[in-house]
Amino acid sequence: MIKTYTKLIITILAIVIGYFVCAYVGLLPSIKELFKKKEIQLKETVLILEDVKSIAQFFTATAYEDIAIDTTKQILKSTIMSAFSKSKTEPSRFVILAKGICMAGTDLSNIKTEDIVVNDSCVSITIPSAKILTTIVNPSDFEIYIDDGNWSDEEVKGIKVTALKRIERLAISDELLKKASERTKLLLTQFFKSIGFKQVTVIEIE
Amino acid sequence: MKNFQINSKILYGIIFTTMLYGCMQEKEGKNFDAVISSMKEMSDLGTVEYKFTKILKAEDDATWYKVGARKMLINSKAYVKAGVDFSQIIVESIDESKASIKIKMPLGKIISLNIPPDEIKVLFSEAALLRNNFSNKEINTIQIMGEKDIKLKIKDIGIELEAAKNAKNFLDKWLRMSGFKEVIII
Repeated sequence: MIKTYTKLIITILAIVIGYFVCAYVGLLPSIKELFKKKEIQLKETVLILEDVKSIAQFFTATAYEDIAIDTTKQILKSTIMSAFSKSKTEPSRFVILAKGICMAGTDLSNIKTEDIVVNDSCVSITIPSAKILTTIVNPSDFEIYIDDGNWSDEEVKGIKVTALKRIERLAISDELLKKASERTKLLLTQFFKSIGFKQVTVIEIE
Repeated sequence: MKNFQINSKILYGIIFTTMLYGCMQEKEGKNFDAVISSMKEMSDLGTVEYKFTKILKAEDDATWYKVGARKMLINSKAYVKAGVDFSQIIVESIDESKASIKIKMPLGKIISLNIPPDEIKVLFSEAALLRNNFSNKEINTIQIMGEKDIKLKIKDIGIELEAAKNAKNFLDKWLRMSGFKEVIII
């Protein structure tokens, strides 16, 4: 009986030592490697250039917004669960955190010769009113905080778009456009003064 | 003994208050609607916009503890805006008699990279029989990996040079509209 146990222990020891020797030499993966979490791999693909266009957007103010969107929907309970309760549905929750950047300024691409009126040392320039030029919430700006697994990719996309729109609305309510407009006027005045004009008038039209 | 009774009442009181506070915390946690805002001034003149398409090819291969593989293809669009810092434009010299001006332009720079969520589409997703489909967190992680890759690749395209070239053209046009006949931009 003792002999059998001794044989068994020796065999196990031999296997364990054999494994460690093989792992050390590199014939087998190490224990650390064996239990290491294998991440999802992104295969190399090309970045395709679709379009290049000239713009003339004067970015003069940026708002940074951090928001949380908490969404709940009713889903059908499983047959076993619904047998024990009156309600056939149960709430399913999705919470996402989003950090967004909203950039505002003036689009100067449509300024024509008649929009810049020069009279000796005075200049008058007519520009369109400030607007939101870009709102950015990239994938790395989203953090899925609660997801119980009942939300489709399309639903999540919808929530992300809602977050983006909300960030834009918040920036507008924080008077981003007013700040952008004031700064555009200031920067253009400074620029025209630096090129020799004594009096600069910046007119903003809707 | 009386002291002990008073102490135990205080203890129960503390426990009850803590529990009540704990419940309130939970309720607040569920209904949070936190918004943090801040603002920054800018002075960038965006002169070029690039539009890119990137196919994200994600693979989660089988290992000894994961039976079967998972694959996903995502199509995403990226918009890059570049330009120059308008506040860094330096007027070197002005000759009023010749209506001539010499301007020093700053180098071009990338202003923004935008990957709109509504322009990210899952084209294909497949999971082996014994594997779960990709979760929303995993899909977002794949998109983050794609974003990092795009950020790396746009550095080698020469967007900044194109932005500086367009900024020169823009400024040349504006200065001529302002009455200058000779415009030198360096």
